[in-house]
Order: sequence, then C-alpha cells, then structure tokens
Amino acid sequence: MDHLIIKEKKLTPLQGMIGGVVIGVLAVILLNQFVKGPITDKIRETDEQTTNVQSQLTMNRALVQQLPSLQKERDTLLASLKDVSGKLVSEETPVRWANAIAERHAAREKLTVRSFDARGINQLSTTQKTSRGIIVIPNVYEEFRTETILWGTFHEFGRFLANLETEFPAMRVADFSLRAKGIEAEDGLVISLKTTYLRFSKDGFPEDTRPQAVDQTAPLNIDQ
Amino acid sequence: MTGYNLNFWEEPDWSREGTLNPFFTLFAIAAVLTVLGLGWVNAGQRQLQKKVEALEMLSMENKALIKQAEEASSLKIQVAKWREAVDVYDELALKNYVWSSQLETIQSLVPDAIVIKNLYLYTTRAGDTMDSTNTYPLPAWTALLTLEGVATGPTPYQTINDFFDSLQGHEFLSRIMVANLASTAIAEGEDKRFKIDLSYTLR
Repeated sequence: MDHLIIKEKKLTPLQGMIGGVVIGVLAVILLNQFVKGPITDKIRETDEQTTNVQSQLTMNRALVQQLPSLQKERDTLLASLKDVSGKLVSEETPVRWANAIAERHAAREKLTVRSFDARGINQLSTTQKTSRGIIVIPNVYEEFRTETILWGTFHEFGRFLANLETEFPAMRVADFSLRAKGIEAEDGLVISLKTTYLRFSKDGFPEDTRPQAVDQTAPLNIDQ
Repeated sequence: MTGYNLNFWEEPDWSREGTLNPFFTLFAIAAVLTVLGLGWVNAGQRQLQKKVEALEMLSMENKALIKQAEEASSLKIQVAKWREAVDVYDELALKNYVWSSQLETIQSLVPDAIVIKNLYLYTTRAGDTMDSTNTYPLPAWTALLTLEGVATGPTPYQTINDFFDSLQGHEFLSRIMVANLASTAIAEGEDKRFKIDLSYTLR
C-alpha cells in the first residue's frame, strides 16, 4: 500500500526563509520595475528641469540686476545719438540736406555756391572669417559723397571749411582744389570741394533698432 | 520488512515540531520585504514630490522674472548697437583730419614775396574701390597737397627755398608730411614759378 500513500510535502524553516526572501525580493524587483523605476525616471527628469530652470533663473536674475544700469546707459546713449543724428545726412532728402548745409555756411562766409552735386554712397563694412567662409557685416554708417564748387577767397574758404569741420566732425574732406579765377588776386578763387558726410546705413543700423526719439530724417533746421 | 528499521525518528514534522510555522516564516519575510519595498517606493515618491514642489517654486520665480529679463535682454542688444553707433561716430570724427587748420598753418608760412596761385588736395584711402565699398576700420589714407605759386622779388630762388625750408622745418608739418619741391626754375620774366608737393600719410 506504500505506493498509494501520497507524501505530504513539508517545508523546512530554512526553505520557508529562503522562499520568503525569494518572494520578497521578487516583489521588490517588481515594485522597482513598475513603480519605483518610473518614479526614479521622473526624479531624474525633474532634476534636469530644475537644473535648466535654475540656470535660467540665475541668468534672469543677473539680467534683471543689470536692468537699472542698462536703462541709465540707454538714456545716456539716447542723448548722444540725438546729438550724432543731428550731424548726419538726412536719409530721406540727402541732396537737399547737404546742399542746404553748403549754402548756409557759404552765405555765412560770403562765398558763392556755383554748383552742388551728390556723388553717390560709400558703403562701409567689416569682413569676418568664419568656418562657413567670409561674412560681410555692414557698418552702422555709410558715407554720402558730395562735390561743391564755390567762388571766394582763400580766407573765406578757410573759415567755411573750419565751420563745416566744427559742425560736422565726422565729415571727411576727400579732395579740394583752389585755383585763381583770373590774373589778379582780387579776382578770387574757384574752389572745388569734395566731401563725404556720414549717415546711418539701412543694413548696418536698421530703422527699427534706432531710438524712436531720434528723428534722423529732419535733424537740422535748414532755414537757419 | 525483513530487517530492523533503525531510523528511530521519522522525518520531523516541522509544522508540529517547530515553534514557527515555515509558511508563516515565508509569508512574514515576503511581507516584510514587500513592506520595505513599498517604503522605499514611498520615499522615492516623497522625494519626487519635494523636487516637483521645488521646481514649481523655481519656475514661478523664474516666470515672475521673465518679463523683466526679456526687457533687459533686448535692452542689452539695443544698448550694444547704440554704443557701437556712438563709438564708431566718435572714432571716425577723431580720425578725421582738420584741413582748415592745416591751410591756416601753411598760409602763415607763406612770405609776402610768394603768391600761391593754385592749391590742390587729393586724398586716397587704401580701401577706396571702384564699387564704393570700404572695409572698416578704415585703413590709413594718404594725402597729397600741392602748392603752385610764383615767387617775386630780387631773389626768387632764395625766396622759394626759404619757403620750402620753413614748411619742412615747421614743428607740426614736419611730423606728418614728406615735402618735395619741384619745378623751381621755370622762368617767367622776373618771377619764378614753383611747385611744392606735401605728402601725408594719415591714420
């Protein structure tokens, strides 16, 4: 009858402990896999976000701290730019502007303006070597060339030039010639003067980046 | 059964013999480990919660600053551009050569016995090209100032040479120019024509 006896399996305490440990570890592994794992991932993700936000915050705090000094500097620069823009050629009516300047200063020194011509624009730019080749950066200014023919004396011309150079320090005298008009000194001189005036460049200093308060289109009362 | 069964003791029934039921041990250990695991998970959850709260606080603080920071950032760009505009203007103005004072200096050196008939100034900038584009910063440029005149009086040659020497010896002019005297002896009656070239290299 022995073979008909079904032996009841009994657990030893050691087997019980090992079984408990195995089941417990399995439970922990499952918890880690399905619960703690996503939490750990989320923590890592949150840490990354925190690092990003922290660096943004540091940067923003620094920027905000600079705000008062930037505003102050902007106000100072605004005043300087207003001053500068008054010495630049009008972009809307450059020929009229430059002609009016020549006429005004000539009349002041009793010179006669015989002719006035605009001679085009000189572009100014900076070239920079980059990994993608040479790039051209337009300058904030460009030069407006003019030629004026005047009649007058040496001293009149000297004062005329001195006045122009004082009023427009960035104006550049390119060429001039003073030739006797006749045999006698009293006949005066024929003076040809080529100059360049500065003006804002549309590419280098677009209008939307310029200060609103600087009205560069009418910087000068030409009736003065 | 032919012999004696000397195994007096049967295999022990631990559920009866032991003080702890092995199944109980099994479930207890499994439960303890599971509870520990859950605690671990809970700690993680709490840690996450704390980090999320900290992130939210930082985000809120950052959000409050963003508008001002953006304003400061755009202001920074604007200020840089404006500063460039002012600086470049100042630089160009500073580099400019004041020709009226130059003419005044030369005029003060012209003696009575010399009459300047013609005066020419030609400037050339190294960057000047036919298509009117120039590189910036602007390179050095050169100027050639030519004086053409007539010397009168009993010793015109001497007068011309003295005038030339005075130009060369002038404290200011001698620092910036190279003088060249040419065509000093073109006879025209009693007077003598002359031509003086003054070369400048300006930066």
